[in-house]
Amino acid sequence: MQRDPGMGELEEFVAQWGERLLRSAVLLAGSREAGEDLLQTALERLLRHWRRIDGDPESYLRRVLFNLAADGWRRQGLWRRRRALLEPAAAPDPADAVDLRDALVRLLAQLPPRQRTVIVLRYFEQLSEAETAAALGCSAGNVKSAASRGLRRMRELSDSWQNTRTGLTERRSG
Amino acid sequence: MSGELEVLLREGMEHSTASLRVPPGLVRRAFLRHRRRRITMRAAAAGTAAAVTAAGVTAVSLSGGTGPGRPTGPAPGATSASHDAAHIVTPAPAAPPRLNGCGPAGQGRTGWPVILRQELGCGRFRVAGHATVNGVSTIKIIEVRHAPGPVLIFWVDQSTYLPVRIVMTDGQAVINEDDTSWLRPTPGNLAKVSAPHIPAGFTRVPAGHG
Repeated sequence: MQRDPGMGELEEFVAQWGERLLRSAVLLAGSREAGEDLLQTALERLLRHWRRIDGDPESYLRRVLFNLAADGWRRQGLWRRRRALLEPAAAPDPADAVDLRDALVRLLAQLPPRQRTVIVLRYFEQLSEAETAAALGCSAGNVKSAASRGLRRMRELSDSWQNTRTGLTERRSG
Repeated sequence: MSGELEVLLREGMEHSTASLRVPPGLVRRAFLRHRRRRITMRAAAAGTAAAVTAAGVTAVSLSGGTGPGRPTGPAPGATSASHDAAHIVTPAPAAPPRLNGCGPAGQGRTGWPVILRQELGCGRFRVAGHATVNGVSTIKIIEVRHAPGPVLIFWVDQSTYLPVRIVMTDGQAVINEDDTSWLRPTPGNLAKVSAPHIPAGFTRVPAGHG
């Protein structure tokens, strides 16, 4: 049985893996603050189960992070708190000078947690459907349908955003 | 923009998070919150175990032990040491014991067999099987809970009924696990019950602190 890590060991661990994990957490949670909270919660869970982790702690932490984002966080009411954080930015402002690429990231935050988690795992973590399914403990079919629904929703939102933007540009030039 | 959307999305996610760095206090906060939770749970588990063992230990001590070579006796788990925190946690004496559903611990209930029989009889605990723990043949006994909350699990020695392992779970994952060894009821060992030895570098703090 492994002993629990000290704070120094945990700091070393986070120095090695933390940056990428934080980036995923922020995308999963929708804001920097919520992402930091999510990562901290995942780290606490990692510490709690350290002695029983079968495999490497980094993979375990990653799985915890993804599953918290997809399920647990919402059950704990943090999802509602996070939504409140995102609501002001829910509709893309056509007057904004942000490009479509950045708008897509904001649109990502409007997706339901499970769809958003699947999208982040597939397109940011670049996991395959099978790897995503294994990380979330669901079937590859579920991953496929969640990704498909998520992308379709994002496409609708981005089309509507682009149309609004085009209309605005035409009105400005006309 | 079929494939284009995925490409743009990927670029957007990379770009929008590229400058993120883990804030310096995050690891420390996670570590301290974990440690605080663990100490609290350990103190709760120790308090619970103490409530049960108090009566059991008295009986075992009075009866002169349970045989040669058989560990018995004091140090009933009322004091726990957290090596992470370098703290000794002593539960407050007034802490209400959880294992009093079949009558207050230590009042007319003497000996582990009696206590366990009562706790099992009133349905507060149930036998969940047999296992070998640290080379000792044990009976696994689980607390019966009808609502969400921490669940206590004991593995008691089949011949003495003294606990060999005490585990606290939150219903799914293990929160705290303690393996217990038992000392002979010599005067020196019995003195440790009232005045536990505090190792160098550790300080005694009230329960829940740390």
